[in-house]
Amino acid sequence: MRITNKMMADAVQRNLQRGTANLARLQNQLASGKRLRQASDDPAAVARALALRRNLVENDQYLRNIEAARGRLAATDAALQQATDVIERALILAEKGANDALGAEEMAAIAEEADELLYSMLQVANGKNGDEFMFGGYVQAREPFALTAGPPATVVYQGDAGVIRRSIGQGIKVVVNVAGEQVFGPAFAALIRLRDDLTAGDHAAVRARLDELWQAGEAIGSARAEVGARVNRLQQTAVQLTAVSSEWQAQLSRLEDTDIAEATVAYATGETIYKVALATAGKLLQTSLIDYLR
Amino acid sequence: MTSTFSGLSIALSSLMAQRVGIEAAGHNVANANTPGFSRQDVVLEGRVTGGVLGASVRSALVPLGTGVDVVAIRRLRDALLDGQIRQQASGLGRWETTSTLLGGVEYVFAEPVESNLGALLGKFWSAWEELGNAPQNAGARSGLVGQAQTLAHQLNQSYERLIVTQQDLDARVSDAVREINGIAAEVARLNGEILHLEVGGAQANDLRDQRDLLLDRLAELTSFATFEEEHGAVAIYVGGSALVDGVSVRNMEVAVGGTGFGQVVWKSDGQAVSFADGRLQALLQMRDLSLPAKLAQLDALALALIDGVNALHRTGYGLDGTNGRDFFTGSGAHDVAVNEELAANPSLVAAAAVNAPGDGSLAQLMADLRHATVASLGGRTVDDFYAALVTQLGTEVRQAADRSEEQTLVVQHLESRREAVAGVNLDEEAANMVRFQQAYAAAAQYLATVDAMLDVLINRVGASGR
Repeated sequence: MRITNKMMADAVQRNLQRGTANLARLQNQLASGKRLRQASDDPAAVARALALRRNLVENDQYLRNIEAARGRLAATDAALQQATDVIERALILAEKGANDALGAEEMAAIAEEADELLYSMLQVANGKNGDEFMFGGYVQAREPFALTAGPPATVVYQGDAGVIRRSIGQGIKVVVNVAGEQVFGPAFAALIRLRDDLTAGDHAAVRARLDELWQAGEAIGSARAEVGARVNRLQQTAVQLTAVSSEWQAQLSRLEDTDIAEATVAYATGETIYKVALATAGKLLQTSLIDYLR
Repeated sequence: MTSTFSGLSIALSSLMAQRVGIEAAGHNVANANTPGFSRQDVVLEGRVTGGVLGASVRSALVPLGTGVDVVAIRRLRDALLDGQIRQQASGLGRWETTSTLLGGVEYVFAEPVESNLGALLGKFWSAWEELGNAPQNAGARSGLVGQAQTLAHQLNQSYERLIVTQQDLDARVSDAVREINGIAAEVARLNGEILHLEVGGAQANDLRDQRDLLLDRLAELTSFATFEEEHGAVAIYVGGSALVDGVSVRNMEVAVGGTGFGQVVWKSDGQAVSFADGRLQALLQMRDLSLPAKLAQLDALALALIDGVNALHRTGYGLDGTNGRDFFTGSGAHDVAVNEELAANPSLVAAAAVNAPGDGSLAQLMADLRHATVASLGGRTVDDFYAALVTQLGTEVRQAADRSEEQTLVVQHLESRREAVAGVNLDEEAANMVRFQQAYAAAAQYLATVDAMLDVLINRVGASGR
């Protein structure tokens, strides 16, 4: 094929252009750290990357939910521990009060302590996690439990039966509260009767209270066990989610990020080729027959 | 017997012919970088007359040459190659335009980056989760409203930008039509000049070059068919209708149609121009098919979101104990917005499934909507639909870019072949100049010789008798 000067010049230009375009692309990848900047760079990879991102965002939310749920359950557990302590102290008082040998003065003293225990339990049952009452169900506008003076004195439950759940996985939810009325109701009833019986100095009645108090303690205990089981489950889920998120993050990085080593080598190669093209272009375009005619 | 002075005419013919040769080489060299120039060479033929020598020669009739004639100055050009190049150039015009335009559309969606629709959808769902966790927290409520507003705004924006692109394309269509008319007028004018020259028997080499260059420009805009008529005029047909016929031109114009965009029609009869290839075809396709499809997809996405969220939201209760409110207003991507009432007072957002302020279960159900498949989106979730939209767009851009590259290579290859035939090689022209120069010098030498011989005849014969 016949070659003309224009063809040679055009070819030189095209090759140089190709060289610079290649270098520009690699430089971009290196500087931004991203191999994929637009869907058209690699549509299939971008489709997977989009899905991974969505899943990661979702997982993050679940992990946050788990964290908040753990905090709340921990606070609940602490409160229930305190409630258990109150019941144990009450049992001791009841034991004492059941003793026929005690006189009216001693009974009165024990009754006073029983009264204080009642108020302690009230405080625990109205406990908050942050600004939220833990044992009132959905109701936050008023305290879950209120003591009416009577007679007869009772503790009224002012909350509702709302169950609070948190999402910890797709379609998976965990309950983060306990039913206040069921857990504290028997305890309050028993404590009020204990106080009243002690005040009245009725040893036999006080003895009967032992069983009630013990039952109340059981109710609180089983609520604690339930909470403990949930905390374990949350812990396990958190570990799983974290592991899965790590894996997805790694996949995403492999898809999206520039392989620095590979790109650097490609850049160096591209640069060398470009320099050679420049050098030979110079030589090619200069000589012609006219130089040699006399 | 030839005439006494015939030697002189041989010399003259040679001097003139060699000079034409050098000038042709000079013309080629001068135009080595002129776009569209085809090199020219001289066609020389020996001049023969029926001259008869005298009886002293044995054969009665001996043809004797009487010099050289420049028969023609040939334009070295392959018309077939030109046709092929134009065909491929139309394809290139189309794919280059498509590639650039789709790249612009892709930029509107700008994946995979932080602040685009995909990420905003994710944040929207998360905000509902957070609200579900703390339904009475003012921060969670205003956070949700804020995220929803950002999402709605981004949908509005994306839609708007596509509309603006469409309008820009409309302007470009008008520009392209103007360009085509301009080229047609020029070609008709050149046709006239070429006819004028060639009817008289001359050759309009450089005018043909100019005309071919115009045709190359036209090819990028639209595909067409040409017919060379008698005496050198060229007729151009676009979509089967004549654009240029001899010296007359049929213009195209842009008529605003029902869609509010300009349709390209023939001025003379209002018929639509049918473009098979080229930049104009790509512009029209993008404006009338591609972009409307993307706009429809955005609208479908927004509507599915609006309907799904609102249906659930209406069943939920705000902190004020009322239900039945819509969360989003609007019917598509262009006008979707958060209900003004909610924006002004986030406590009205329904997070509760029952009338109890501490209940956040509806908000949680709302967050779960991200996994709900929607019939109007082909059974996909909103997030999946969006991902599919972006991926498909990416594939289209990739394809257009690849086709564009392919076409570029094909056109470059064909142009190389054209250049090989028609291009000027300076070494070749230098060699030509040398040979014509030497022949000129030899002819001059011959003239001197003939002159010397005649001098003997004229001035010396008959001197012996004196």
